[in-house]
Amino acid sequence: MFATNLLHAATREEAIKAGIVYNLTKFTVWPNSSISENYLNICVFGKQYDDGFDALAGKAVMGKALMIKRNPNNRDIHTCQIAYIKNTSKKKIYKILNKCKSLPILTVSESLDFINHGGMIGLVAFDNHIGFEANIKTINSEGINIGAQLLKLAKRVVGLDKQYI
Amino acid sequence: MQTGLEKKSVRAKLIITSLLVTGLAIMISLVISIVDDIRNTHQSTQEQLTIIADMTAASSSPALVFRDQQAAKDNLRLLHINQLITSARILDQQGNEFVSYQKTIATEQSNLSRLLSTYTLGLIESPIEFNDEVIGQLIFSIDMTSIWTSLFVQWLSKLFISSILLLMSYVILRKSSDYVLGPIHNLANAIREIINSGNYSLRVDNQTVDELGFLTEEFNLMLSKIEDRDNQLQQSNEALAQVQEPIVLRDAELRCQYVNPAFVNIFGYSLDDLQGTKETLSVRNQPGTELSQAEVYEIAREQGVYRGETLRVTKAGKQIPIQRHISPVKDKKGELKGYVTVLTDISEKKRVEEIVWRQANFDVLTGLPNRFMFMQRLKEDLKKIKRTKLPLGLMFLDLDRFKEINDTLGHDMGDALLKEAASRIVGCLRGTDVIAYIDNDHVVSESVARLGGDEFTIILNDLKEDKAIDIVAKRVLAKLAEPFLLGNDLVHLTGSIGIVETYPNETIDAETLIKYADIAMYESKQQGRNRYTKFDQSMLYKAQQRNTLINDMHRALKNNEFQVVYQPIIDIESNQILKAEALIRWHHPFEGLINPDDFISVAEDAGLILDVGQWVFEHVVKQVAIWRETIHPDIQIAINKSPVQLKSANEAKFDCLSSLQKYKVPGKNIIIETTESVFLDKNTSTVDRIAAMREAGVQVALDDFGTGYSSLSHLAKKDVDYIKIDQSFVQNIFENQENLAICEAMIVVAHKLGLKVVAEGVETQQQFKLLSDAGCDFAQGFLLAKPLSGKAFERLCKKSEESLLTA
Repeated sequence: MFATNLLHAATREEAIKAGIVYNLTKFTVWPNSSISENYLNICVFGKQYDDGFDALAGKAVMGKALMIKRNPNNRDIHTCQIAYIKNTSKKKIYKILNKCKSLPILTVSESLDFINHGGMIGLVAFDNHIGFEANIKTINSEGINIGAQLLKLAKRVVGLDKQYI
Repeated sequence: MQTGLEKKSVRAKLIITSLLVTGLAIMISLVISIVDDIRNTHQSTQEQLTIIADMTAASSSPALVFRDQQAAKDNLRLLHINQLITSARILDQQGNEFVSYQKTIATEQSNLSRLLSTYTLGLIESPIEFNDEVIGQLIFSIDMTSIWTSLFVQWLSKLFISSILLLMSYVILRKSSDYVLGPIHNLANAIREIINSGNYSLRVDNQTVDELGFLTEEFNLMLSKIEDRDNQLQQSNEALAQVQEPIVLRDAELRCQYVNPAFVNIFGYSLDDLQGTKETLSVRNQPGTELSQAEVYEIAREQGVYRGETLRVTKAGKQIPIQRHISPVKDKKGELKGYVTVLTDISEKKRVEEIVWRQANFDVLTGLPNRFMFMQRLKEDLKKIKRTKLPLGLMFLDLDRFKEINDTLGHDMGDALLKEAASRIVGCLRGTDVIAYIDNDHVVSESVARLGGDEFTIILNDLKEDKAIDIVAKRVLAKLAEPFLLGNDLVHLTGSIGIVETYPNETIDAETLIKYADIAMYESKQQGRNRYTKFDQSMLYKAQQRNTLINDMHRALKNNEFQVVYQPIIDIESNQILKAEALIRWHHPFEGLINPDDFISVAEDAGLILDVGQWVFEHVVKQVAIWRETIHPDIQIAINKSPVQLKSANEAKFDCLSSLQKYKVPGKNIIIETTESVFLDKNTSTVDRIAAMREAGVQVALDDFGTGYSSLSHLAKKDVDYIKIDQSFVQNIFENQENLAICEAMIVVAHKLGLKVVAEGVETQQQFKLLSDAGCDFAQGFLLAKPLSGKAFERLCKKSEESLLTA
């Protein structure tokens, strides 16, 4: 349903990536204190605006309206629930990750091996379609909970404590 | 089916029933188990599959959300563990197939499973939800063939086990039934043996102490009682068998239980023939009103005994008259158990009764009904005409002069004549009336009867035509008139018939009817015989007069109303009167003097003539005894004796000789005047009687000589002393030379034979002279003297010395 809606402006790949983020919001539970009653903010970091995220704006997830924030400044970063970092240099990624550190923000990026570099969810392309990877340790450390079912979909999960196995 | 079962033995029934029950129980449990299996399997499989579906759906939900086909496929691939799920599909919200999974099928589907696919194949659907929103559909295709197969195998094994159970039940039942039924078999065998051998001393071995053992003991006890009773019965039966009278025992329902040897002997039926039947050997269509069997036995039951006579038919078909004594047999409680019938053969008694009856009702000589039976018959017929509304005719037939023929030819011939006459009479009847003789021991009819002597009666019933009776009467007369050939003698006979007819509107009793017929017959006799006369009331008057006359005559004998007068007979040569003919006179108190012609014949018919004759004889002898003193010792009085009187066998009533002795009168003073027919009689007693009188000196004169046979042979035998020339010759002697010639001839013959001649009815001098000239010895008649009283005769005799003729 959303896949087709997302295709009108962005490329198919961009739209799929936005769709995955959108779907992630459905499976993710944030600590109550950090989340607004009415909005769920998806913060998108990157220069390119021609992507599928604008199409998500206004959609409702769990009774909350989705808001898209592009490259928010440091003051507003704590209002983000999801930080989507587009493919960029490792340096910039670190910078953004540092800003999000200690905040209940689900970090998602399409950069390679994101989850082994402090990121939570990495989008990966394989077999002609796009999947994701997750780092449970980093996700759980910020008090964010993603459903176990979601993890089943993950192509790769890292940061698993022995206690979970 | 049911009848088939009924025919089986108890044992078979027991086994079949038990097997049915066991089999049914096993079947029911089998069916319940199968149904339960199906239900359980179906339910659990459904539940299991539903859970799997729900779980799969749940786990597929993120993959669908992320449209991760690979993940979904991997998820579905897990289903291969479950054998039932052949394929799975996930449809998205639009119903498009998102991903599918197909199990690799190892084996080809058999025909059977294909056939059963309706039952074995199915779909399980489960919605795929995410956040309370249906985002897709999971569909399993399932194939339950394997489950059904395994179930089927289970069922087969259960069935197999059930069969084995049933077989085991059968084996156990057989064994146990042998055990249970064994004693019963023993009992049955014993009973059969007892029935076959009749040996009640047999006992059944008893090995058990259960109910059957008890039964066996009771059975043995019963056998002992039966044995005792059998012995008693045998004794009774032997006693019954010894009885010479036939005996039948019946039960309360009248079924024959026993017949003794005497019964078998007499009736030819054996016990086997009759046992159990209600047959009574009664004669079908038996005449008379016999009681029904039911009534007979009811009488026996209520009155304690039934006695009666009836007919019974033997096996050979012979009818035997029997007397039955039926007594009810009751047990100690008074309950009816049956009947004992003693039958007595009363053939001999019946035969004697029959003979007695025959003798009482039939004339032995002719076989015709006798007076007794005739009277009964006539009475019945008289009753019958009230119904038939047809006249009845009665004929009274008397043979003419039969007595004379009987006397002439002898009684044997007379009997033969009667027999022949009877059969001729019977032969003359109309067709429907040829019924008057005994045929094959059965009385066909009694229409002709012999009343006795030469009297016959003929009843003619149902006279439809007026002339029928005349025709019969004429035919009878004609038949009788035909000559009878008896031995070598040819006999002529006639009959006189009196006829009376009665009509349904008349009321007349049998006795009166016979009297009328008799009167009419008498009239025929009077009219000259050999004719028939029909009764009319005027005859009744005459007959009444006759009866009155007879009655008066009886009285007259007692009251001395009769008087004897004497007609003198003169000795022509000496002119002396020493003889007279005694003649009877009747001075009737009301009628005055009655002529002998008017009452002698009646007296003869009525049988009074003997009394009258005896009275006359005694009277005369008494008178002669006196006259022998007063007139002359040789006085001779002639007394008329008709042949009837002389023939009478009744010695007491004609005891002439004792009368003579009584009054001391010699026989020479008496002359008996009679007619020559006396001598025609072959009855020797009459001739002997006359001979005896002549022996005693009594003389005999033949009266009315010349009018009858005028047989000279009797004269030649010197049986008589006088002949009396009939007055018919004497009275015409003067004008008829022939009569004179006859008189002269008779006188000559008589004299030649040594007899004296008396001329009767001499009324004129001329007659007297002619007779005197002809040599006649004595004369009597009005010329000489009328009949005189005794006193007048005495006077006349005394005067006769002075010559009558000159006086």
